[in-house]
Amino acid sequence: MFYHIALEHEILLHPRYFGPQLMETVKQKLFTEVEGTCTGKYGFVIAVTTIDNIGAGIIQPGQGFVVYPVKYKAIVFRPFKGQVLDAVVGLFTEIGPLSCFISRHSIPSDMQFDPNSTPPCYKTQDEDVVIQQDDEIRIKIVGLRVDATDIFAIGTLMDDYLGLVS
Amino acid sequence: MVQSFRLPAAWRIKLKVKEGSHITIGQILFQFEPEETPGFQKESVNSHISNGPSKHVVRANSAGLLEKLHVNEGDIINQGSLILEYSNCSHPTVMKEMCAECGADLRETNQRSQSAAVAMVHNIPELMVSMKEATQLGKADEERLLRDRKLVLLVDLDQTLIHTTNDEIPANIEDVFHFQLHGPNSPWYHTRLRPFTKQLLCNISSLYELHICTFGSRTYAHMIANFLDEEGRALFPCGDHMVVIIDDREDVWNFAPNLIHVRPYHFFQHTGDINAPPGLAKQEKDDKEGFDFTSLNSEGNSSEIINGFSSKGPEKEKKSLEKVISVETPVEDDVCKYVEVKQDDDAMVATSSSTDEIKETKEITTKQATEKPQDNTNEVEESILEGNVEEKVPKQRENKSTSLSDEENGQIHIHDSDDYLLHLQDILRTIHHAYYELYDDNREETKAVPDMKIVLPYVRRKVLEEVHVVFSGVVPTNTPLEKSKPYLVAKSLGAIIMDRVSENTTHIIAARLGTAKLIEAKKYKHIRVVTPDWLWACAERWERVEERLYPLNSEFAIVRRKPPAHCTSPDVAFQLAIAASVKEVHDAVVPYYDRVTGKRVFRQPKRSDKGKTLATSRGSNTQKRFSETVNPLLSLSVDEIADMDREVEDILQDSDGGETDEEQEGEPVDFPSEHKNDEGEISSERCKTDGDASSSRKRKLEVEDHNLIIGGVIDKTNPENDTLMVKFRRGESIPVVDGDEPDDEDSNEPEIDELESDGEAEDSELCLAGQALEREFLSEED
Repeated sequence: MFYHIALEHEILLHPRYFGPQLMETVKQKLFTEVEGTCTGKYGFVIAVTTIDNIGAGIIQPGQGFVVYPVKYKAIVFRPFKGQVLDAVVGLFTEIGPLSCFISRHSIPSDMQFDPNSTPPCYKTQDEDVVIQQDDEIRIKIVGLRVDATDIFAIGTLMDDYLGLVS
Repeated sequence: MVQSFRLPAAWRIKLKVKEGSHITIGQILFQFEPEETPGFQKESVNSHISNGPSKHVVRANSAGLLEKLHVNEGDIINQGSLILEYSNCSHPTVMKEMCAECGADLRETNQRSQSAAVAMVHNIPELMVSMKEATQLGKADEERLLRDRKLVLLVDLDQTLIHTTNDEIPANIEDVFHFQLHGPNSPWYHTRLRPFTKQLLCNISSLYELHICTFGSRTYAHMIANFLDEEGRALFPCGDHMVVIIDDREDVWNFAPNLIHVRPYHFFQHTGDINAPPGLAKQEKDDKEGFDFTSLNSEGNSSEIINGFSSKGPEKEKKSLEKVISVETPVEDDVCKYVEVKQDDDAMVATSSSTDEIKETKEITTKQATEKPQDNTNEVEESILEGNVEEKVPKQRENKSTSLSDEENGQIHIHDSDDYLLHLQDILRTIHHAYYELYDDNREETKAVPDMKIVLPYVRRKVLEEVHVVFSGVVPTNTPLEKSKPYLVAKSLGAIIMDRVSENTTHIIAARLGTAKLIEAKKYKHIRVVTPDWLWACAERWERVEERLYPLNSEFAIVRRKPPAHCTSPDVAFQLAIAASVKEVHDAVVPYYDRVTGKRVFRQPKRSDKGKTLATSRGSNTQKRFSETVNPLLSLSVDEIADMDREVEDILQDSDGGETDEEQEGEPVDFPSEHKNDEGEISSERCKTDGDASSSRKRKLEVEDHNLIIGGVIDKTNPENDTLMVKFRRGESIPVVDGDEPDDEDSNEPEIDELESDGEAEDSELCLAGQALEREFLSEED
């Protein structure tokens, strides 16, 4: 699920950036440091929408580096167990930044793996439905492994209206 | 836990699952609709029943395995009847410690990878499956392979298909890929594909399923796989009988008989195997085979000075810059080495002091890689700016073979005379053909699938079939013929080796002219005289090479009496490895590669330090015999050793009570006589077998129960009583009890068998005997 939430981040800045472009640099650094990362709690940070407040910088004793506390809003993607999502087939199916594994047994048994076709694919007996690499499928998340900096999902195709999105 | 479902009233049932199938959460188990339309009321028994107009669906409320179905499709079910039973998920597939079937988090439930312990897919190490599942998959794979008439080929990368260096090389050599593994500041790697690699992979992929196998890091393998456009998969839980391995070194495979030892590919100078396995130290081969780029560079530079600069100013500037570079280069070299050492740990950290310099040089390298020398003037400027490392105008250069220059696209084309892969392709085809021929033959009688470990040596033996070989001047006279490398190589190729020239002889392999055998051979017109190189060429290409290419011309011709490293067959190498292990691996940890998984297993040779000193103090003959106890394949469990200790102690207690030693005349001398001086001590008495030493002494017979273990009791009058150990010490042939190494099967030649029974002495009894004897010596000397 996508959320628009307020977050905080600390930017550590080298003294060489102290100058007229200082605030601009802080903002740039925030984008590069935050976008595309993942936290277990909030999920994947997709995009920073607004920067609400850049606090007073604190010079680090002995180094000269400055730490700016930044408050910003961002769109985050946090998957949940039971959620139905569209994914792209690969070695793992990819739901944007989220990797999802689908076990052989979680694919309807009428679909068989055919290693000899190029590219290898899953298909039904009558080749009515063929799922191969880069196809879009609809899956349901049955398990989530949430680590500090990564989220990994287990998905299934065994439900109504799941499978190839055509 | 087994759950069961009962239904409330009379319904017609429609099953959605099969017996033995996996059930995932929420999966529809069955549907049912009312037979007539009685007063239906929804009842939920351990599951939720979705309420439709007429159809009703029962879904699984937990994942698991359907154990038993009690009804058939379309049956009419009455109230209270049992429909199906299923058990909870056994988590047969685990991904990142989550069950891939039911999504359960195994970290929480604390049943961490109990069942699933086999890493199945080698590019996803986190994915584990249960042994059962793995076996099923393996079986399915095997069936699929047989159906498609394919075999599995394990492809080694380094020095087999590619050669990679991290030395600095010119950027515009054709067919060389440049890449960085660990981000923008990590060192550059330069990879050259062996000639015909793509062709080989293309042609062979219809016959073989290709798997990449390397000691390099995963990212490295993937990078190369991208170049080769191939992908790898799966280990082989069902055995490796359909697997062919190609590699440039056989030690890492523990001399598996299904290995084709290829000639190492060497393109870049000064770089050996960049990903040598740990433990088997990477040797920096500084051989002449590689292509020397330094001369290329210097030529490029000099020519460039002539071509590019008319005014003196820039030239000076450039020269000074050149100096700067030449100062920097050694720094980078050092760093490269440093990184090289570190690379197995994926630690690519450069020392801070030289970081800046590295960056600079790296940048230059980066630019080199992208730079295309097209516009001359532009280029010159650029080169000045960059500090001008090298190569502006690619210059022609003579390689050891030939070299062509292709100046139009600015790529240096280096002709590489290495055509080994073409031969390899033929070899692989032959093997594939032989394997499936055998499979077809077998299929009619038995269902058995042939074993590659038998097929491959068999194919190899076909190479020089019907060839009768006499060696002349090849094997040193002090080496027994049967143990010489040329003999074993010829044998593994199926040649028949003869002692002397006779009617049947077809080939004389001679190292020099004028030997007695050669003169004798002149009597027979049909005998062909070749140099040992002929044999090595045959071994390399697996074919009977044209003899005329290897004539024996001058007396001073340089011939290689020893085969090049890649020509040895597994049998040969195995023998040699055993012999080497005597000297090298006394009590070191012996790396051992599991045949199935290919993983490194460490085994400690069961041998104490004292045993070693004892062994060395003995005569060379005995030492050799005892060397078999250092067999790297030997393994004794702790229990066995403890058992032996106990037995030995028992014996010692027995023998302490007034034992007199028995010695015998005519017993072959096994031990040096220096032990004679302490005659009072039992140990030395027993050790000593000199004929003149108190030959009449009898040993207490109670020990005879343990005679096998001690190996010291000899009743001369009854040869039957000769223990195995004594026979063993005499060097007589001993009955091989089991000790069937897979290697054994392939070598049907009696000589080699004998050697192996000597060398491998896997036979537990013998080993036990040797160990016990040793221990006894030890404890008594103390």
